[in-house]
Amino acid sequence: MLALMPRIWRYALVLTGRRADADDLLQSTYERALQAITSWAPGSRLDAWMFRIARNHYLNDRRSSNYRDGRLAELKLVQPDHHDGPASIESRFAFEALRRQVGRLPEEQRSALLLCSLEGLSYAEVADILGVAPGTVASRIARARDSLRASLDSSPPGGEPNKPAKQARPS
Amino acid sequence: MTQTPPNEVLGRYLDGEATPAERSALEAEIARQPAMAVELAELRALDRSFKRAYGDVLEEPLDPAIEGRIAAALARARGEQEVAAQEPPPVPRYAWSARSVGLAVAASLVALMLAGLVGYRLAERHFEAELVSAQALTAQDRQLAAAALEEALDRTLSGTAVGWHNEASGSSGEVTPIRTFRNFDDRWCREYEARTMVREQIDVRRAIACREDSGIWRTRLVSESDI
Repeated sequence: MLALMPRIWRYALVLTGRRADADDLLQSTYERALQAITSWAPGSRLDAWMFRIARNHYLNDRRSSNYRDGRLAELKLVQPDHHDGPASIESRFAFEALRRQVGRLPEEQRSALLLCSLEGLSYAEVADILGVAPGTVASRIARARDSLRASLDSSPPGGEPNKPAKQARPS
Repeated sequence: MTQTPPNEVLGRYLDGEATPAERSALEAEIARQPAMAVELAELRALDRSFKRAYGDVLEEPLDPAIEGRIAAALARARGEQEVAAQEPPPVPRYAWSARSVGLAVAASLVALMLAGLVGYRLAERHFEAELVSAQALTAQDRQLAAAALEEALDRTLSGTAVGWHNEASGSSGEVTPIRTFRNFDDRWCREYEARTMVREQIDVRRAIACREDSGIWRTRLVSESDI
């Protein structure tokens, strides 16, 4: 259960969008899990069970508006360190940009994408956590990917145009 | 499956959720349609970026105070009841990151095999790859290169090179369209090879650009340089 902490925290960050809120959510998730540990079916996935607790807790708290919606993943300033070439710094900016875009997705899409793509849960397992049908998970993930691709297309990070930006030509 | 949007099918395929029948149908289609391969490669690239973007998050140290409180609460709970017997042993944090690196490597290997575009590595679209080559170029070089690229994509037959040369910087390059095809959403796409020579160094890369409604060619997939 302790070993899961970094992953629960990561999910908490994806949900809340703020580090301080992720810390709080991590803590309350564990509190809740320990209280309810008897309801965990031994042999089933502990991580999936914890993710569900984290999410339910988040949704409850959000209803009582403890969190602002996880709209804005905090922008962390990237300190160039000497091992990094410019490309690596750029890619970290790109990752920050991607995380910001993820933060703009509706919660159910964010959750579905994270649990499936990052945590490697099956659609059925994700569906169970989110309380929806597996087909719904598939379409949420597809929509999440579509929006991420669209947003990355429309705002290439870095600021420098690296494409020939020219207008249409006739014929 | 008939009315399922293509991206959803690709997504299911990517996530290992497609049925065997869907899988073979899709693989046949990918073999037939380069546009489909591009689409899949893009989805994989996105997925890889996503994994890497959040892989970093796992590396971040947790607040030790919180970690301590949780560990203490857990220890108390263990003392009270023996439920925890089935738990996995605590794993050091780096083990997770090693796992996610492994996943990323595996994912890109699979991508290489499946995308059907031998030699293509999934660059994160606008991300790293372009910047590496752009580093040594001056603003004027880039302008000339961009103009050559547009000329090549817009008005040049496949197999014919369009060159550029900047006397001020001494850099030069050429762009050669290789083939032309229709994309998913019926856009024209062209595969091209771009050579850049900066201070004796030759950089060659292959890429695919698709033409947007506005007429802009947007490069969607870039291979790693191979010289």
